Amino acid sequence: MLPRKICALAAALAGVTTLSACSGHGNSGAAPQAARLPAVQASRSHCGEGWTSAQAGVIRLNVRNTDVNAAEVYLADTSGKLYGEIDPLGPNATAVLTAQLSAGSYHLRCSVNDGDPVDGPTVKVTGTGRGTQGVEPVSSADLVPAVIGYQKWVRSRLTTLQTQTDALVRRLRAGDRAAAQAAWKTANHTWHTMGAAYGAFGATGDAIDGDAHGLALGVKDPGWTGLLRIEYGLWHGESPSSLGKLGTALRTDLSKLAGQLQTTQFQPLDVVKRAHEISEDTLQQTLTGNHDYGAHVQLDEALAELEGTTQVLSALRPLLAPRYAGLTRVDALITKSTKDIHAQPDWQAPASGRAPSTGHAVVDADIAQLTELLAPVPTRLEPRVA
Amino acid sequence: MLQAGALTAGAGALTAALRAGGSSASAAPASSPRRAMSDFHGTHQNAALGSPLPAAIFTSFNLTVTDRAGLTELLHTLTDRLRALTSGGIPTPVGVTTTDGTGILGPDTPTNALESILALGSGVFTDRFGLGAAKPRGLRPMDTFPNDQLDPAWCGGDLLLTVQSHDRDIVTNALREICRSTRGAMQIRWKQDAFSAPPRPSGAPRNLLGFKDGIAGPDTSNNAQLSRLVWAGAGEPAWATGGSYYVVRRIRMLVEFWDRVSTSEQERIFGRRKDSGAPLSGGAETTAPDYTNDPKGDAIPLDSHIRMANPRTPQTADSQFLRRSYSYDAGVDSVGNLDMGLMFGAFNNDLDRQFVAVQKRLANEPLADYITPVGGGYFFALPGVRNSRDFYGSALLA
Ligand code: HEM
Repeated sequence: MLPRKICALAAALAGVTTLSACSGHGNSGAAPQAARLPAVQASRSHCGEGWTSAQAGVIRLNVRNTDVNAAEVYLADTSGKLYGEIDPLGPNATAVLTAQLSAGSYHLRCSVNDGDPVDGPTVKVTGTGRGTQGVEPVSSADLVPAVIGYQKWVRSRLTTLQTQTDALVRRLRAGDRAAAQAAWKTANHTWHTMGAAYGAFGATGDAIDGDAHGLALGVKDPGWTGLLRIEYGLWHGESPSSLGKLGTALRTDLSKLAGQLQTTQFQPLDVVKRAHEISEDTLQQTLTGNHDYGAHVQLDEALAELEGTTQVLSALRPLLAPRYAGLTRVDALITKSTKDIHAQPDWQAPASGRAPSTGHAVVDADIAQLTELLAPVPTRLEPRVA
Repeated sequence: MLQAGALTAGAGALTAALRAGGSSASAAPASSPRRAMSDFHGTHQNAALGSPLPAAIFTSFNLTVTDRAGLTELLHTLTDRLRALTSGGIPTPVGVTTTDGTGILGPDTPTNALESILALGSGVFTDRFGLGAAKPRGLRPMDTFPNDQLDPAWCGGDLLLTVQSHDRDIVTNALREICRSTRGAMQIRWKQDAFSAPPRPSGAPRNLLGFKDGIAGPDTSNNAQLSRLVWAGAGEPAWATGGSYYVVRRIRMLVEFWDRVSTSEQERIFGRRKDSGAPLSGGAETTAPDYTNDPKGDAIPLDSHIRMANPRTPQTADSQFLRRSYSYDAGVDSVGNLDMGLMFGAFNNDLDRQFVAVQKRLANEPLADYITPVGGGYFFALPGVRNSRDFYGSALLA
């Protein structure tokens, strides 16, 4: 159930284009002063004490951590679904937990120091007010199969990329610009499927696809390496063979990454966040032309990034599908975005301060809508001890 | 009386009273009470009538929806969101289902602090939405006038949203929430933050050329004038009754140049005193300019802005319209001059009879040397959302 009448209305009408899980506004009149909110404890021994009754609708509790350790505090129903959270709440700290509940039985859950959660007394909520949808929590352990599956896929992509990079290096050495450019495009596409957004691969990732923006000497900076540096050279008249060294360095960095992927496991939270971060990156770096160093392959990169998002989602799907009805809209939008990108005749990132072309606006709108529809993925799947 | 605005002291007083929140028209101090906010629901978009507020944002969007169902859904969403943003209150807690709202208005958002005006451009009235035949008679892409230097990036758009409030954070929040809930359906084409200054020291706010602006015009409390000069009706498709042709022009002011012009020359250019806003024919800000005894323009030059815009003859009476303009301040140009000016806004019963006729009369006026229209568009402000079950464009899409 969606939170409020207006949201339910929007949802009823919602197709692919507008966000229905909107945050509406309660016509609550004046907010109760924090001082007059129920004073509720969070601790191992007194979890939920102080909360005894509530009317359906917006509920606000003034929760104080009376334990000696930090706590996470949740508001849950008898089936364990969550309706609100404070994460974290330090010892002695107080914060307001806000939730919107329909009639039913609820309780507070206190997880102190990441220990087993403790339930507070059951509170009967009465009245006819509408509630927000509850979400069954997900633990780190629940996410492990998804993380392992996704990481395995990334490793296989990396193997492909290493082979493609070997070909790139050979063509650079051979001094064949056209062939090197083609090989670069192939490798670049593969890399963009791998979800390298937002420092996902750390310093090694930066060596592989860092841009020149933060470098003291910009595109002339000798410390600049990786795919974008090679792109810059190949499309700015640098001789391919002079780029050979950069190709070799890229190969080394990819091997290093392969080693890291063998020994370290992705963090579950990172994988969950990647579900929307890849398309955030598409908006901010790809479609803006921010990362275009001459090849003008933004559309191809956007397609590769959609593929990357699809992979993350398919790993998460068993956990996500029962928790997020909007997933079908996500799937439909990925299909539509792919189609819209394929329909673009050519591509020009708008000059700064200029309005984008019609085709650009369509793709921008698709990806922007996708980021909105993917924002609930981390909020619902974030690993919790609840 | 059909003549509007400053022709009668009474109407001027009413205009001033609306500005000053219903208090006395005279000498409203800078800290005058905030004017009342218009209701979201009504036959018209009442926000069009209210005097400019301290903070506004003009945002033009391109639609990316491709069919009628998509457009209908978008207009529903816009209605729901703007209604909720206007009523304010505690945002609905989302639990862990998704991310919260912007939060920039705090946990309990101000009630009735926002006004909005939603308008459509001519590009919407095409067959892709099955609306080819529904176009308001005069609606079209904005004309290019003799003194214009239009930048396509600052022109046009399918949908214009103007939001206004006493506080900047309210309009910023509104725009962000609106965009968030309509991402896939429309994309921002251009956007201009704007403001209206407090009275200095009283009466109409001053524009960035230092002159009181927004003095003359239809009396917004006179329904007969409003239906003749502001709200669309006769001759329009039935659905459009109660809407209004909304012209927005982004007009750069060459303020450095202007500041090197003497006050008396500036006053002759406008036809009004710079300090008081009074017409050069005498009286006070709200006194009607008197052209009857001034056929040669000795008091108010024939080519002054106000005289060319409104010669106050019976023949030109029905070319008056409702001006609702804001100032904008947008940075610096390539030679180090400030880019600032006027977000000129005009609500019209009939686009050609009113705005276009007046703009043509103003061609090559002396003021033209100091201003450059660079953007804007012709839009049609939809009829109002009548009640909590209605939505923008319900009659259009019925
Ligand atoms: C940057 C551009 C402009 C500036 C600085 C400006 C400024 C002014 C000022 C100071 C006044 C006198 C005070 C008042 O009655 O509000 C005025 C009046 C007026 N302006 Fe403008 N204006 C501008 C553009 C326009 C445009 C584009 C139009 C219409 C096409 C227009 C139409 C009028 C009209 C109709 C009046 C009222 C005349 C009357 O009824 O006495 N103005 N303007």
